[in-house]
Amino acid sequence: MSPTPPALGHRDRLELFLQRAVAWVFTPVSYYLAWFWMRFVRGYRISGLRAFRDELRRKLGSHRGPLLVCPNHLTAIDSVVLVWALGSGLHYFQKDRDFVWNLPERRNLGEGLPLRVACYLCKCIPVLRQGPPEVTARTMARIRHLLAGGHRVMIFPEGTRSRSGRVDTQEFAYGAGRLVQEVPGTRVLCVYLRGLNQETCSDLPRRGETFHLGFDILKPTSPNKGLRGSRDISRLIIERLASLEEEWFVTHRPTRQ
Amino acid sequence: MDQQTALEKVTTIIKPYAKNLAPLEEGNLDARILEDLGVNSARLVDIILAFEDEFEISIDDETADKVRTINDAVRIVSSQA
Repeated sequence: MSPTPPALGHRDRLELFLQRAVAWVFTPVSYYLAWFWMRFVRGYRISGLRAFRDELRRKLGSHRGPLLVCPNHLTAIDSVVLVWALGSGLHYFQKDRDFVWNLPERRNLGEGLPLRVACYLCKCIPVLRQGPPEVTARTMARIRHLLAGGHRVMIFPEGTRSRSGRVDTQEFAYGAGRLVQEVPGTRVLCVYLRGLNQETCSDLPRRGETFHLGFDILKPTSPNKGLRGSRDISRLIIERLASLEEEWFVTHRPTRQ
Repeated sequence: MDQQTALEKVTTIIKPYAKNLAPLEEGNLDARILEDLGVNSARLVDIILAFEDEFEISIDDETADKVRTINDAVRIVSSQA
């Protein structure tokens, strides 16, 4: 049996509380600035957005507990597009736990102050992949604390953008499975997001891109504990993403699979 | 299990996951699995699970987090096997 993971320290709790409060105050600004940029500067559209949100609300039902959002990963702004897809600015202002926390790689943020401020306001917790175990443990404790408090957290199960343009069912990471194991009651929202013109991975989707979404909500479990259980659960998540991808291609590119 | 046998088996298990084989070929026991051998952190989990299967042992998460070098791996498996 795995030992109970360590709880979060007071300082980390305070930092998260402050970030949550500041992000909430700035939600109308941060959300609608990003939305304006995506909608009118880049010309992006999300097909069936209202139906997607209605269906998501219906499937989640009364669940207000931990929700781990696990999308596929093709562009550098997937998380921003998904924040747009998963709710309106008004919704996030009313229910700030629904505004997903993101986990960008710290090295990708660089040293620029504007990007760091934007990330802070958009509820990012920078993570250091392959970092020292004590740093990873502290980050995991923060994420567990948020999930246990009923917040939504987004983690890309593939760990990185897919170079092939398809969900990588071999070289995926096991962090999502570990979180599901360590936070009881966690549900997983698998989301497949792809623009019609997206072939492989890129920094930005093409201008004027239309995104189509597919999703499912899982309660993945494994008879195994520890690392083996994490791997099993992560595999279930990645396999569901791969099947959502197949459905996406059947629907949107029936002749180009 | 003696350390030499454990080392040989550990090396065999790690090899397919290592991007940089030089430290393994040099027998550098202090080589760090992630940084020096270029093993992806998710694949380190696969390696530890392979240790469990090969040596018929159980490695808990806390112990797994302490596996940083080849030497750590050899020490843990030889103490439990």
